[in-house]
Amino acid sequence: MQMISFVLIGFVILIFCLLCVSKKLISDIEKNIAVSNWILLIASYVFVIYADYRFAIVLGLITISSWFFAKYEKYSYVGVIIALASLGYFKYTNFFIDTFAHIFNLEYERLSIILPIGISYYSFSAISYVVDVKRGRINSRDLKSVALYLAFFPKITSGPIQKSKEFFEQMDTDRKVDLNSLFTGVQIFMFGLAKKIVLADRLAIFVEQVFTTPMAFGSLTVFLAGVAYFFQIYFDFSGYSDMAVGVAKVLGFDLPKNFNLPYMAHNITEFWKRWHMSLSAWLQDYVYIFFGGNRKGEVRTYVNLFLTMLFGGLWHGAAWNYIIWGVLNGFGLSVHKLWMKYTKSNEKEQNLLVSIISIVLSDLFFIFTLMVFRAESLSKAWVILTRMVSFEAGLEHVYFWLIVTVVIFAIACVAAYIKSKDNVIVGKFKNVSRMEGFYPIMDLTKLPGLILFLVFCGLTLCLAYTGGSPFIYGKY
Amino acid sequence: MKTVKGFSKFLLAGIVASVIISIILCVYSLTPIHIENPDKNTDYIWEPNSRWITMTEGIGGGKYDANGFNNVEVMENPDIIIVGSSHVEGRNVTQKENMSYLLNEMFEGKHEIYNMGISGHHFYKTCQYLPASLDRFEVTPKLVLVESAIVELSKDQVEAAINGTVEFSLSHSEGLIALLQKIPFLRVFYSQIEDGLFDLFMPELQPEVIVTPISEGTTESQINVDEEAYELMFNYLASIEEEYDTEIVIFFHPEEVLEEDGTISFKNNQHVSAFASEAFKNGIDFIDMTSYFETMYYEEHKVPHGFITGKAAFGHMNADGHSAIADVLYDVITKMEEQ
Repeated sequence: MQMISFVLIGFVILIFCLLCVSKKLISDIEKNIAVSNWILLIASYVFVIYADYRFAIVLGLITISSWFFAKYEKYSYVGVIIALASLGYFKYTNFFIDTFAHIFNLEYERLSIILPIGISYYSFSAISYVVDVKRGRINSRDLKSVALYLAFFPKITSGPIQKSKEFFEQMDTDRKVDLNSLFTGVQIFMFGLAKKIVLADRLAIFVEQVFTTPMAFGSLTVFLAGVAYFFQIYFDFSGYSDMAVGVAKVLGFDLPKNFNLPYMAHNITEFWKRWHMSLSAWLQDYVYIFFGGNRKGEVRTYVNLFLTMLFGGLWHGAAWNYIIWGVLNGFGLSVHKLWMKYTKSNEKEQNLLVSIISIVLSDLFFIFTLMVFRAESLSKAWVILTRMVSFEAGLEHVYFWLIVTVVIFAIACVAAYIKSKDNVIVGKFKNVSRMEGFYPIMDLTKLPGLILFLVFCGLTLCLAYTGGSPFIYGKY
Repeated sequence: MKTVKGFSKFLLAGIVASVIISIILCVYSLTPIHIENPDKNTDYIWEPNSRWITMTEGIGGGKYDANGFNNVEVMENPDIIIVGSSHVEGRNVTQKENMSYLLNEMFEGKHEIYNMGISGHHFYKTCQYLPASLDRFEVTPKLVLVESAIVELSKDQVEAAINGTVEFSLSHSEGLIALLQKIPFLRVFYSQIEDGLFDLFMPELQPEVIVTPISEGTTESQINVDEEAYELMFNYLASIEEEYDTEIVIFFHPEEVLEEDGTISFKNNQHVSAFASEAFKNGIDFIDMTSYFETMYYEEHKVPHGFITGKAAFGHMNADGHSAIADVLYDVITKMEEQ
């Protein structure tokens, strides 16, 4: 059951109806919460079994081990190891075999291992649960709660990786499942769908062609394809996250925001606080701090940054380009930290020009790292990067939908700026953007809101790219 | 009562939204309706004097002439006509970028070139309609430029073209369907559905795509050429030349493929020698655009197909392609006159 499918839409409507009926029939709040949670847990496992029943077994085993070992503080590390080992086995075994065989020039056959749906996300959630219990942030929970936390179907395939505390708090409260939550959820879902099928999928056409045949195109076009990928990956992944947030909202849950205008970040540090926020927060909490964070001296801080980002890169996939992408970002973060230290720029108010330059430089750095991230191999990444800066002549193709995307993005940024203009800056970091993204939610009970929403839906369907392409983060 | 009120509100909102969407889509895709061609020299013509706009594939716009073809104005007795598919019709470029307009500009009134290209008319259908295309003018045009995107002919299709039995595209120009087609929102939405919009929402039902690689190193001698088909087709075309005292020039534009190493190759041109030799044998002029397109790519870094709204080197002919063909046709016509 994929995020864009009639089956999923029907499934969500069914669960929504069941939750409404349960709310209507059971007047006791406690009992209603329990029944609703059971409905969601069963629905989530149906979702996983629909993909493959074996995936449900893996999910079930990780759930049981996390629940069991979290209860015993002394052995909680076993829960973490089991989650990590499962992720390692399913995701990285072939990568290690490939690398080993390549180094020692051995002949071998790849193992046929299928990647269970959402394992990258729920294994991290499992670690978060076990560690949070160990750190005393939360109390250990019953098996049903842990199972729902890990399996909750709107977020299982591509996140966001919600913190256990936030999820359990919502699980225990009487959630709103009514027409209001439905209207809000549907709007957020449509917002994400438009990002995916109108913008990301159309950009994918251009990106795919230029990245497959970079030698046919001139430097400018290769660079523009890099910019197009920069927008594609954002609209693809943030579109997915919005759709997950929308579905969860229909079912009464608030999932955390995964993106907050990352391309308006003034520096790479701020970027990682705005990009894939749930993964960044997870990495900071459970990897960076685990390694000692910035408490063990300057050198260790930089090493920790590198290691954290290397881990983050490796999480994306078992390939060298992801590892190098992680290292490049670790390098970027370290350089920025050094820059801040020696220029003390975090204590100065930035003017508009400096802000714009900072934003552009941060974005250019990310575009550069994305070339490594996107390429099928390191040699291909090298070809693309050299082509980009060699000023070679070739076909020039200024892609129309890239221009449309930039215009839409600029309008969205202006709207976000106007909406967040009055925000008060807390702390001394004056060069951090004040901008906050928001969902343009309309009141669908009023005629103007309903008309606007229907116009948005109609245009989304009329402008959608019908060729389709899989979600970029679906494979992680 | 509450439900009725809610439903009425939703219906009203839907109608108002459809109007707003239609207004917005007028600048994105404005497609007139087909009507049956009274002269019977194409399956259909576009609604006469109707405006069209496209941004779906390519960016273009214009107004069909009073005969329903893509010309700035009607020509009663042109001395040259161009017939062919949507490439010739040129609805993916502005009206002043298509090859017939460019030729008219180049000849500066010396010749009148009339565009009778219609979307969906492939080479067989174009040939089937050739006699009717010539009959519709009081004075028979001296030259017929026939576009082809294929050079591989099949006997069945050739026979169908000669017998006038190539599959006919129906026009729905009356009643409710015609009315619905005039609403831009419904028109675009329908074409989105045709293109697979709903398939996006049914990924579970999508068959796995199996790509069969084209075997490399296939030489022309290994290609199975249906000689009878070529003979039949060119005898037929030669008889038209004779009967109408006109000359036929066929121009072939192959699809280009951008290769990973930065070179360019061409599809659908394996049978070009068979096609050219049979044309030559029957006194029909044949232009193969392959080498022109190659030069265009390597020297000017341009490709004849594809638009900024989609992939380069993919789909319909772009303004550069129209211009390249117009240049070549101009040279050929000028040389023919000199001879």
